[in-house]
This record gives sequence, structure tokens and C-alpha cells, in this order.
Amino acid sequence: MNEHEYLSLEILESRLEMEAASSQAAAPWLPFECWCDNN
Amino acid sequence: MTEMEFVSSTLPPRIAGDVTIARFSCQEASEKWLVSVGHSHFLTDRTTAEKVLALGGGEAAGHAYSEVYDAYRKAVDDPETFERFVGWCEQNRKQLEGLAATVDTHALRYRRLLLSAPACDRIAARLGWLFRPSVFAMVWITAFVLMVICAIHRDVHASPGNFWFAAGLALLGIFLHEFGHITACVRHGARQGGIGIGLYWIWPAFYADVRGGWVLGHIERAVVSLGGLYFQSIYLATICAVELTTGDGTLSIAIGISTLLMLTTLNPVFKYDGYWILSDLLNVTNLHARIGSHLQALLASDRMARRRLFRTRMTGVAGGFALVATAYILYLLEMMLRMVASQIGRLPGLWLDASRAIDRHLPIFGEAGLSIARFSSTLLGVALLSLAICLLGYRSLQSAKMVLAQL
Repeated sequence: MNEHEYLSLEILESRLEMEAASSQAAAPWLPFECWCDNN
Repeated sequence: MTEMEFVSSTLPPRIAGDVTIARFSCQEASEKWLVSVGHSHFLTDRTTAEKVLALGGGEAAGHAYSEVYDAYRKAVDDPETFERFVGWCEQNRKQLEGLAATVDTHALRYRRLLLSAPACDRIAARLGWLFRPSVFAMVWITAFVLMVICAIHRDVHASPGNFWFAAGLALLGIFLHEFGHITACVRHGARQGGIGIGLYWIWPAFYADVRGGWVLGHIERAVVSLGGLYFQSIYLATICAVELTTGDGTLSIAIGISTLLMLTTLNPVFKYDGYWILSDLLNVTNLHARIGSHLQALLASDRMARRRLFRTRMTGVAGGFALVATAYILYLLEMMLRMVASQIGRLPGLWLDASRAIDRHLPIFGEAGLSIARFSSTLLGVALLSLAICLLGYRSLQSAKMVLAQL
């Protein structure tokens, strides 16, 4: 098979920059400990 | 079939949506070209990129379809090459026509747009000056100094503070974080697709659609990836300045949460900012996949090939990454399990408090209500965390199984 017979494409990752929307996501222990401290 | 017969009898494949191509700077030995079709991006060789470009044009090109061939024929100026192009088109018709609808490779699911691209463009146009190199450097330094001063004085508060209000402030910081990515993207002239929210692995996450950023050079891409932390640092530095002046406890908690979030986002194990920053600085695309295939190749190849592979830069990257990833997942699981255990331990006491309050017929909006709320929220927390642990464990095992299956 030569280069003209197939389509070779490398799919690049979908570039979605992101950050966790809740502090639980980043530091799952945090809200609960604070909740305990506050109560 | 002759060329003319072919053109008149069969329509060439058409790629829906705008197609653009550009040379892509990367670490590979051979020249790579970036093909952008709508929101999808592909790397390929120059010849393939030019052929795909010849077939693009979407609806705007109307029905003058054979013009595609005419244009390409003029460009190649060689009947034999042209015939091969026609054959290539037929052979890859299905894939070519489906390029615009290529499945999104990102693991962020259930995405919902919160702020449209035009709205983001308008705001970003006003904030672009923040990415002038002199301003960029000055702001980073000022923010860093303020955060250090704040960290030194973190135990001195005039008031105890409210966690939930602080969490709200941190959430606002995350939203501004996404604006940082968008603003950097717009400033460097790349297309952006707005800000939204979705589910990544097991966590809800805000995202900034900067898929258009692939057209930029790798240093510019790194600025886009750093842009979020940059904006969040400005926000955090402002909170630090107010906290230092007022000694407000809520602000202090907000600083704590935001700092943790910023540090977490630097972790390259998941596809948060750290992943993209590392990928851009190393100028390596599809980093996770490349690390995976490099590790597989190292384990599967014969001794000579392994020795050759071992000497490459990717071995250091892959080795370091595998160690960090394993340690991080184990740490996360251990932390979550420990928390579930401690919360389960609290449940009997909370249940006792709640039942006593009910027995004494205390008003439901008073102490009894509060006791029930404490018990229910802890129970809900235990349930959610257990679900998160199961999901994290399941996904980790799935990933490990996939790597092992390739061996």
C-alpha cells in the first residue's frame, strides 16, 4: 500500500482546559472536615 | 474509467465545515501539518493536508463540485498524480466525509455551555492587555508576593469565617480561571468556543473550549494553558490583599480552598491544566496516549529495541508520569476511604442526637431539624463518596486493564 491509498490522520485531543467545579472535586476531604469543624 | 468519466459520473467526497491547514511545530523528525475541520484537529503529512484542503469548503462552496477536482488538477499539474488523487478520494470517501463529525476525544462528558463564544470574545478583547509580557511578569510577581505574605499571616483572623460563603468565592475564582484560558487564546488570534460545565471522570468541572488553540505554536499554547492559573492568581491576590487588611476569616478559608484547587489543577495525571502545560512545554501531542504506548513498547519489545527506546526522552517523561499517577490515585483513594470511615463513625452519634430531639418533640425548624440535617447530609456525603471511590477504582482498573491487554 503506498501513501496515496489510505488516509492517515492523527486525531489531536479535544483541547478543553478545565478545573474542578467544586472544592470536593479537587480536595474531596475538605468540605466535610470544614463542615465538621463548623458544627 | 477515464478522469472525465469519473468526474461526470461520481461526485467527489465533500468535507462539511471549514477546512484549514497549517504547518505544525512538533518534536517529530518528519514535517507535520495541522488539518482543522470545524472543532476537530488532525496531524498528517503535507500532501494529505493539501488533498483534504482541496475537498473542503462546506456548504459555502455551493454545487460547483467538480471545481474541487479542477483546482487540484491545476495545482498538481500532472495527470498521473491527479488520477491517484481521484482514486485516493474514492478509497477514503467514508472517512473524508465523516471528518467534520469525528468523535470528540475528550473525556469531559455531559457538557453544557454557560457563556457563548461571542460573549467570551467581547470580554476577552478588553482583557487581552493582561497578557503583554511586561504586565504578565509584573502581575505574577505581585500575586506571588501577596500570597506568600498571606500564608505567613494565615493564623491571624478577626472573625472565624463561613465555609460555604468561602466556597462560593472560590467557585467565582474558577470561573475567572476559565476566562484566563479564553483571553490568552483570543489574544494570540486563535478561535475559542466559550465556557461551560461538564463531568470529568467522577467530578463536575468548568471548562474553557480552546480547541482552536492547536493552530498556535507550542509556547503560545503553553500561555493559553497557564492563562487560567494566571487569572486565578490575580483574583487570589486581590482576596489576599483584602484579607490582610480586614483579617476576615471567610476570606482566609477562600484563600485556602483556591490555593488547593490551583495546586490540584497543576497535577498532570488528569487532564487539568498541568497536563496541557506539560504537553505544551514538551511540545508533545496526545501525551497520555504517547506515554501509554511508550510504556507498552518498552515492556513488549525485544532487548535491542528496548535499549534503544530506553534512551529516548520519552522514557523519563513516561517513568516520572507513571510514578506520579500511581501515587496520586492511591493517595486520593486512601484519603477518600479514610474520610468515609470517619463519617461512618459519626453516623450513630448523629442519629442518636436526631432521634432524641424528635422524642423530645423539639420544633422541626429548630434543634431537631438541624440534627436531622446533620445526619442526612453526613449520610449523603458517605453515599456520594462511596460512589466516587467505586468509580475511581473502576476507572483506574479499566485503564490498567487496557495497558495490560496491549502487552
